[in-house]
Amino acid sequence: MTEKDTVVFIIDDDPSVRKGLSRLLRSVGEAVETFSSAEEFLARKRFDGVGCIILDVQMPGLSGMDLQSELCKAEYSMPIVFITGHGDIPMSVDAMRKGAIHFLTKPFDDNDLLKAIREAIDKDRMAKAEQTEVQDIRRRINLLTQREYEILRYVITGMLNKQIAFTLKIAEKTVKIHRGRVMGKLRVNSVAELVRLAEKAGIEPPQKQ
Amino acid sequence: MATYLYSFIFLLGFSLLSPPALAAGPTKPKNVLMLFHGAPGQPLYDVTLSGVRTTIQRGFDGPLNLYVEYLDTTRFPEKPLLQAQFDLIKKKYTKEKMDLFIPIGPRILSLISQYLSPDFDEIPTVFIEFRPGYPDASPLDHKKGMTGLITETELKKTFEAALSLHPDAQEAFIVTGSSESDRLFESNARVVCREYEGRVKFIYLSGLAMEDLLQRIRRLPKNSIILYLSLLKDARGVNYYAMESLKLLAEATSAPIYGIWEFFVGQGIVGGYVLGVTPNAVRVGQLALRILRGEHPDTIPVEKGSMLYMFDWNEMKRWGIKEGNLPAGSIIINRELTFFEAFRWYILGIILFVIIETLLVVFLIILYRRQNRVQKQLSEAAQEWQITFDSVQDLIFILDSQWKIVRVNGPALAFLNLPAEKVLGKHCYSLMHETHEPPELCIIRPMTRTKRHESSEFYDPKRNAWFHVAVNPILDGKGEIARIVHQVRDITEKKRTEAEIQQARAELLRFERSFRISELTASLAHELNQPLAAILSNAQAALRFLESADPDLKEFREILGDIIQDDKRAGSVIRSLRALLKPEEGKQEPIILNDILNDVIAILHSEAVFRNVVMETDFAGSLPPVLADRIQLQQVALNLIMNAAEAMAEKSPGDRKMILRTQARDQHIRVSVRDFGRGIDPKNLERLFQPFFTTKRTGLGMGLALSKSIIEAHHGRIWAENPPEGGAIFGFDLPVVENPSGPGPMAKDSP
Repeated sequence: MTEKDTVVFIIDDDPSVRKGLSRLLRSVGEAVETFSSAEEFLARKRFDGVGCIILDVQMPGLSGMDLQSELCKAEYSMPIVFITGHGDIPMSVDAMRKGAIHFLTKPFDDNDLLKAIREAIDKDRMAKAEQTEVQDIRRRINLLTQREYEILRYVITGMLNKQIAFTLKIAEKTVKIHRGRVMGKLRVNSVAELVRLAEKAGIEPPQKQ
Repeated sequence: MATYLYSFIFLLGFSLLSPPALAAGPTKPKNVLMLFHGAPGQPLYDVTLSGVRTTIQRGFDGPLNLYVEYLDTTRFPEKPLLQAQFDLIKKKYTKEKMDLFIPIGPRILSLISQYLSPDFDEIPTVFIEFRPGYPDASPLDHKKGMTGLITETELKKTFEAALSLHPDAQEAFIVTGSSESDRLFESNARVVCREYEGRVKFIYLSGLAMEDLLQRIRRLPKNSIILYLSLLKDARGVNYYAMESLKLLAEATSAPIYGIWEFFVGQGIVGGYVLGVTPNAVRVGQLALRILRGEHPDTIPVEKGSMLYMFDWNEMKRWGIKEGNLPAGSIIINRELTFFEAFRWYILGIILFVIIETLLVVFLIILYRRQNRVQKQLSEAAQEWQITFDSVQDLIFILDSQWKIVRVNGPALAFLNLPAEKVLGKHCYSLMHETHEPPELCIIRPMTRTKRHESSEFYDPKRNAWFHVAVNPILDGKGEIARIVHQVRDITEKKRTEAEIQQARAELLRFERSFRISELTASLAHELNQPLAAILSNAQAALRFLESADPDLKEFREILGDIIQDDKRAGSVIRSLRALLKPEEGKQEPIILNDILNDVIAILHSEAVFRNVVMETDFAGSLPPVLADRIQLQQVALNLIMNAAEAMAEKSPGDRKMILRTQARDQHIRVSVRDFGRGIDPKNLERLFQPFFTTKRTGLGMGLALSKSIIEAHHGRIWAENPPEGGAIFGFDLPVVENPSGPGPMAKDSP
């Protein structure tokens, strides 16, 4: 990867604001990319590294909020710091609900901005790391057979082997064998560990009948 | 005789003839021969001669010889004598040619045919033939070349009239004489009276001596009547004229006498159905005239002689005969007139006079009353006029052509605080302006030229008041000024109200602007915050650069440059905002409309971003200036652009576009704002510019109404239309300043 590990993207239609912000961020050593519109940003190659977006709410064409929605839909997750010339409360609440980190009203203090950016970058870094772990767990889960996956879903509900065997109308011994294989494949030693892992992978218990 | 007559007529002709007849020279006299069958001097013939002669002489202009001959066969009945007489006549009147022959008398036609033919056959003849009142065997063959009258005495009618006047009559005495013609009458009477014999007894007193006759009639029994026909000769051979015998009879008679001759009436007879001797004579005279003038007798038919009922008033009285019993159409002679009859014309005259007098009086009374009424109406009208004149609140002076006051109304006197006598006859300016000359601004001066209504307003510093002054000339028949109606109205209050309205309007405009701007608060804040945010970021970045080990000076220069630029940008936003919010000065200045639009576009930049509206401009490269109030025009532009933006709220963001256009046209500049919204509902086109009309949920509804008032105050026109391609266009036209340095159109209005 030729790109820098961490990049701050500035999207604002006002050239003065873009210029000022990029200077400020460069003064603290951040790598900066500026865009004069949401469309221009969307046209850029997808960024894989850790970063955040400083996004102006009001812009001709796609607005900041529109871009947030677009990114959500595209599962292009990057923390967003909204900046606005005039912020009203409903707009900021909506933005926060959709995952915005901060909502800053122009003109803003450099410390507030830098703090918000740091938080955003940290969050992105963590999110990216977690994303890596989950991907690892998913890869391991993919090693399970259909029956083993099924047994896993029952185990995380806290059901005993006997209960699982009764529910699935198979021998208790068979359940015990599958359970052992699941623990092995997923590289866990306790049920508690298994439950945490399943939770991270987003595996849900079977529906009660 | 003939010579005498000729010379008489000749003299008469000379004295009486009209000049043209004289100019023709002496013409040959006309010869007229009249022949009477009877003795000269008889009333019948005297009357006839006189009637014929007078008629001819009156009607004929030329000289005339009139010859008269009588055949007295009563006294000389012998045939040889008669023959000799005719021979003499022939001898006398064939030597000189006769132009007209007038034979008159009983059996005259047979006499002339017997004795004068053929010698007289060529002479034109007009005759009067007397015939008895019964069928007569004697021929009536008038020859060619003859015309005239045939008269028949009608004894029957006379007799009937007498009987009807004397219904008790028992005896009727018929009086005749012994001459041939007397006996003819007698035999005639015997024939006629036969019819009445059963009713009265007829006694014929004929062939008596006059004394005996008179004796008889002196003692006639009661209820007798006398019919006197003719008595020319009595039994003793004494000849009488008919009139003479009648006179004797009338004196002697003890009974009323009736007769058959016109000239007997008045001579002693009561009357009767008599031969109209005079009318017949006149008629023959007329016929004679026609022939003398050249008509041929054959062309004139023979006529019947006229008969008439005629009575004598004196005899009627004598015999107690009532007028009412007379036959219809009777002529009464010697009538004793009643007072009324005698003074008929005086009485009628007096009555007429009284009537006229009365009418005159009535007429005068009516005239007087009408005049009174008119007078009253006039005085009422005058009063009405005076009261109206005084009721008019304006001061009214009526001036003569020398500008002197001839009439003044109450309010004017009250205004001047002077009695009428100190006002009338004075010059208007000496009272109003206290000057000896009319003032410069006096509008009577232009009126004397135009001779039409003039008016103006002016400020009187002395009274600290405004006046509206109007003058109207009253022209005389020649079109010259006779009177001047000079009207003055104090309009100070109106002026004050106008000023207040002006102020209120200005406040309303300002309020509307504030309202508009309050709607723009968010976008304006944004517009300001952008440069502020940039400035802050730049400044803080600079501080951080300073802390670095090796600050880049070039970077600092750039930062400071950007800060200055952003600061200026913020400043300009605030300036435009303040301009819009400050109270107007009412200042008009030459303005380029592109600048106005650019200012507004700058203010609305953020709002357009918020609303996702793209404002495109299509401005004329160079525009001549208009004279206008900058703030007010910005207000109009702001209104139109905001309306356009709002009109497109329902459009998808990509389609929200407006085009602002300026165009220099003939003598005016057009500014238009085109949107691509839904367009104007056609039913609202009329009401768009009315106050409080709005289709928006927010807003005052005053924007377009105020815009209209602003544009119209600038002598422009605001308009709206739906272009065929969709959307709407709102725009206005303003006149170009002709001389940008000169006073504008509004400047004139200020005092």
